[in-house]
Amino acid sequence: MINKQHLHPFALLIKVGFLFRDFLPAVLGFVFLRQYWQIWLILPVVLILWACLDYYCFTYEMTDKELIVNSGVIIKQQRHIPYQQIQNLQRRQWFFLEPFGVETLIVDTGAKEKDQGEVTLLAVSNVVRMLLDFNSSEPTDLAQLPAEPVEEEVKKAAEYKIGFKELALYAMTNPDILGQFLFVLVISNHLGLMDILSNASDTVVDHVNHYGLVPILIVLNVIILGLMVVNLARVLLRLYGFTVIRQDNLLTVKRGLIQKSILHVSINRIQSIHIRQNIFRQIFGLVTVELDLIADATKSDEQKRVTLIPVISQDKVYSVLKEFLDYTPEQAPTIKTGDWYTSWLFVRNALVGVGIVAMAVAIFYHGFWYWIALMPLIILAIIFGWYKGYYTGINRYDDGHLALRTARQLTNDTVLIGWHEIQSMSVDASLLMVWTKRANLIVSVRSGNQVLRLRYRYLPTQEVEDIFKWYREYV
Amino acid sequence: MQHLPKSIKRIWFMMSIIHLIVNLLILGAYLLAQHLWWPWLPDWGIVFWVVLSLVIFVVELALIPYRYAVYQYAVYPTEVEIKKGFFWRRFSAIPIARVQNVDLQQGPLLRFQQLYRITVATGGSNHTIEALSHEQALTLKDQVMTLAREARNDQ
Repeated sequence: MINKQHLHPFALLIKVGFLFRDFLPAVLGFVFLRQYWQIWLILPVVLILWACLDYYCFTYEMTDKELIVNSGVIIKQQRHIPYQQIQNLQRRQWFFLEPFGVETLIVDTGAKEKDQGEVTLLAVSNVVRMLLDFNSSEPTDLAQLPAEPVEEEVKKAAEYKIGFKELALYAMTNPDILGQFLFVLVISNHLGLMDILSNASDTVVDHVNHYGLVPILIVLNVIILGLMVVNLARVLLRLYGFTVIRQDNLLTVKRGLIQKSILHVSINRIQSIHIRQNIFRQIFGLVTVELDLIADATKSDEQKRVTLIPVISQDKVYSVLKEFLDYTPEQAPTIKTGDWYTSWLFVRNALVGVGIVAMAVAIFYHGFWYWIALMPLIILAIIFGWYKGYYTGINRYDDGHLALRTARQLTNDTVLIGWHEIQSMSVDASLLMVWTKRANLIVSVRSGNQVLRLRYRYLPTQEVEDIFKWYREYV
Repeated sequence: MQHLPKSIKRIWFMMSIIHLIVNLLILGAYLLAQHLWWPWLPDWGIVFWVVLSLVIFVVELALIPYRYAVYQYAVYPTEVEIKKGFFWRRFSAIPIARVQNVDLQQGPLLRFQQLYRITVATGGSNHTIEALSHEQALTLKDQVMTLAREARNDQ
């Protein structure tokens, strides 16, 4: 097959890149400390040497029955992966390597132990992937299978591709922007950027100098616009040409501009479907679709959450999903919105949380500004709590599937799940809740190599018991 | 549905006593600290703590029969059901086909009464039955594992 060999030299570049990225926080730390500047000279050299050693010590070979990978500089490791065990192949390819047919290959095995699940070949030629496909039990490239006389249209069962407008909306509605904004403010403060900018704007807005607010507003707006552009660029690079294709029982997700990524998901591995909507996307009527899969134990405690559709109009989502997955509902399942009592209970919980923090702080300081700062917290608690109560509800949408919805931090999440994927179900209630005829529903689902316990709280007892009864009597 | 063995009530009683002792020890440590190192620690907490500990102790004792009455479990051909809790009630259902393992454990208190804690493990979630006699535990384990194996063979 393939004799023992090193990765394509490009892997060296990738390794160096990773090392630099990992050590960047340390470098930044030294920058801020403004000491030990010699680090600037020594560190890159050390990193490059280490990358070379790592590259030299990494070899792979393909025998008749298995893939053997040797790795490790100090602690050597040899992995044997029989072709039969390969469950999934992920491909990533930089656009400038396409003519050479070199790509990054991530081999998923079915192993349950940590560190056993995944092997990454940073840079190998197409040939490797084709050989692995040919030999594995679940061929991912159906073009390799003996061709049956089938028409082109029938072969491609369904395809969904994202347009530019949707990607732009996805970038704009990304709440990361808030965090980044704060980060920029903190950084610019530290580097004295604010002083420089206000000095520059001094000359421009000389006559409104005493309105200190104006230059600051200008700067803030510039920062926000800048962040939006940066986010848009990031999203475009990562999700350009996002396409989902279904063929038989396999979903293929392709995306990327500079670095193309291809992911194959067997429909059998899907445990549940999440249709999520943060508050920004809700305003535009958009949702995100994500899947929970059974793991191949990848990294230690990771959930295996795959984004099936980054953003799609909420009017289209169910009809599009139906093309890919047979068991999703034809249209949005009717889930009752929570009543005022449910909302009140969540608001009450949020206020208790705020109250505890407030009392703790009050021990140290309870002057005028304390009460001023408390107001927005209370308002936020009420809004968050009411939103969560409004969007908590459960329903069954066909004989074997549930639609469960709740919210967290102004993001609502509808979960579609079938009886067979539910590991166990519980109903609980405090004594007070028993009196007020409320109950919680808890559904355990697998995600990655963890279990997700989904809780739907403070729902009317009758609704919860109906679903619980269905679960116990299902045949 | 079956109840836990009666001897669990004795265990709960002992646990309540242990809680009370621990609370009193904490109180003792607090008094000691106040006396020896930090005289500025307030006094008002002490009476409050003593009263609270005694109240909790009495309430826990009074609740034992209720806890016992509410705690039940059942093994059906299709699922395992567990019902527990008085102030916080939980009713769980685990389809037999999802059960992967049934574990038996014994802490020092349980060992004293020859009882075992059962854990029914599924693909991810774990459900416990607080205490069963050795015989009950083995019966349950055999029953559940046999049914689980059959269910998987059928599938």
